[in-house]
Amino acid sequence: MTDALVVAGLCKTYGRPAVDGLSLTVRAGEFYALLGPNGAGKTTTLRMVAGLLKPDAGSIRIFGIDALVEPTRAKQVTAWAPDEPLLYDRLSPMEYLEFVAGLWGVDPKAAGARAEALLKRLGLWDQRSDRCETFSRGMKQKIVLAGALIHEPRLLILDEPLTGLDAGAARVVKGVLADRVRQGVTVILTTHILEVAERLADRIGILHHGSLLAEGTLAELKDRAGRGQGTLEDVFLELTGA
Amino acid sequence: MSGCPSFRTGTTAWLIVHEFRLVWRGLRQTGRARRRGWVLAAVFVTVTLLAGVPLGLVLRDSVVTADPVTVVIADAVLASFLTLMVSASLAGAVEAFYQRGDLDLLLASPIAPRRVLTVRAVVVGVNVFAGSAVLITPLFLPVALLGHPAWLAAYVVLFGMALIATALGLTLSMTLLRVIGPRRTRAAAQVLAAVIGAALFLASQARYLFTDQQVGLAAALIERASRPGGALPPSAAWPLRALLGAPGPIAVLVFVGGLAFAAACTWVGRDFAGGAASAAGAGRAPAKAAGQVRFTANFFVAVIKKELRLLSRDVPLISDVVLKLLYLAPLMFIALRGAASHSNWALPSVVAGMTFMTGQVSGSLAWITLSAEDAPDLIAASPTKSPRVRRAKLAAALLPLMAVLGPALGLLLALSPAAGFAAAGGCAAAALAGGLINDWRQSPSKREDFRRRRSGSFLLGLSESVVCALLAGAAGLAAWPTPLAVLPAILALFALLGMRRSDEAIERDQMAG
Repeated sequence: MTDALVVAGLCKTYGRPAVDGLSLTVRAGEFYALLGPNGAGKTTTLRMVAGLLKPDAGSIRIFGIDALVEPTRAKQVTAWAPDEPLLYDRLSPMEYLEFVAGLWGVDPKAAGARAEALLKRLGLWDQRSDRCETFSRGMKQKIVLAGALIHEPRLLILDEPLTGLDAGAARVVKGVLADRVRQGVTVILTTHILEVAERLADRIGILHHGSLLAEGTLAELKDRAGRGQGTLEDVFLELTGA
Repeated sequence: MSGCPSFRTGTTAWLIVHEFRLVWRGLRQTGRARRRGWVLAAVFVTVTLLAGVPLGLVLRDSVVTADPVTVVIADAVLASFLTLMVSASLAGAVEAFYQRGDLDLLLASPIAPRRVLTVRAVVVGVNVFAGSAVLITPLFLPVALLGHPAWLAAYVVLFGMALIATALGLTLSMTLLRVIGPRRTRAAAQVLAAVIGAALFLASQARYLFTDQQVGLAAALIERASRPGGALPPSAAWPLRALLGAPGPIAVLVFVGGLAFAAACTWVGRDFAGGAASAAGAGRAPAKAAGQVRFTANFFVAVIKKELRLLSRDVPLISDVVLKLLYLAPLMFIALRGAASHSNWALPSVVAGMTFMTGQVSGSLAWITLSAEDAPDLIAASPTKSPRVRRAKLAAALLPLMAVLGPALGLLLALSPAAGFAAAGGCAAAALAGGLINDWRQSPSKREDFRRRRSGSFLLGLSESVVCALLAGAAGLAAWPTPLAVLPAILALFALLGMRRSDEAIERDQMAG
């Protein structure tokens, strides 16, 4: 089976290297958590994978598609949800989803049904016609997630998707993500909430100073850090020297 | 608080100093703001020296009498000023009481809400007074200093009017807040400001809209109304007398202003804390998005629908566009008069004016759709190619313009087919030029920065105006008609092509992150 994402020798410099020769592989249908201290290069990496930033060097293949050569094809199967839920304050959730579905060329009938299902699942159905300007950050975060899912991407890239969510909303979002992975969707997310990575991720990558410090399942990382009984937090702090 | 050690903390004076420090820092916060300040100062000095001083010399020995026409003109001018001041104070009150982020901090402190309100009201009043004073000073101050020192009383008159205007602005903002809620109050303040501005512009053009006969008739009517027992009461002369320095009317005005200000602060102060809280919290009552959602697989349609929705819900933008379109109204009157009197300059002037205004409005709309994208990451992460999205956004910016211009062009075509065709061609070219410039020279920004869009790039604003002016000239000459129209058209084309950037260059900028 083709890997969902293969990144090789990825570099991006902003005065100093933000991403420094990063190579990583995410298998299809995998839940992959990318961890790292602030400034480790997580967001820059994901933005390059999502086609929002051009790398200085390296290659990105998404389901075998060279994302730097055929960005449009790669984006067709990818979804990106940034940490800041930027959406249109004067649009309603339904209108936002209508727009996103149009950008990805989703069949109108399917888009309508998916929008309804997503908004219901995320607890936003009653607010479907309200303008987003009055919504809390958590609600906006959920709308952005719905937008990311409406075209049924094969690769879902999420930057801090649980920031600003209350416990109930976070549980719903985690449930939605777990369901998608069960359906075969590949999820890559960054998070500072290590419990999320610990509980949901099949594999975890730890990024430090723009390159991959360690990668593997939770058990593998614990072994590597010599923390057989420790938590992911212990492993993370041990490996990053924080 | 450092910087104002002479006042006891928590007192009204201490708070006022704090507020003015914020205002001062707001004015000086960026290099761009400082540059703008220097430009305004240069304009101020230039107008004072080139217009104010000569005017002062001309009027040095003149005597102003309180004849009926002068009285009515003075009343009208002061009424216009008062209207402008009310509009400014309403906007200031909405900003000071419902938009500033530090209100929660102040209301959570042990300082009485009424004191907070009074201080903010004082700041609004001072801003309103200062704005008006700055406006009249370049022309008025030299006239007063060079021959009519008593006229300096006009500043006291302005002060009294600022008190009245602030009282009205405060009362109006609180009333609107109660009746229509904070969000709509903000929108209403913006629309009101636009409408008042446009109305005053129309009023200032009134002389040009009427024939000499009609103006003579109005003067005769004023004369008759001012006779004993007529419609014009003796008190109508008070504003003029106050301007000329009569102490009685000045004292009455300042007393009434102070009373109104105190009454407004007392009335508004009763509910201020609750009102401000409602603006911050309950004011977030959701607005329903009108219209049906119809999903589409066509990105072009999706982009246009989204942009049109956002444009139609953008109150500051709409008020700005309406304002610009209202400016066209006097031009249309002139066109009608010109057509009726077979004047050979009226229609070309109108065509040029329409063309210029179209380019300006098109630039505004295109800036909103192209540069003020709220979710650029979403667009960039989509599989739709960037140039195609940009074309759709440009189309969305031009569509409403076409709808609005349609009737005006139809009227012109009916009046004069040649002028109508020239206007149609000129408006189409200007609309496209305004849009393309904003497409090629995007300056990513926030939608709220719309009114300051020109300050982002002086060169961009200048180029847009130059191209629109050249196209306006070409359209006006075409309506004359004369083959010379080709010259400005060619210059406009070269200027436009000078601004052009390739799709790759634009995309490279967007990806630079």
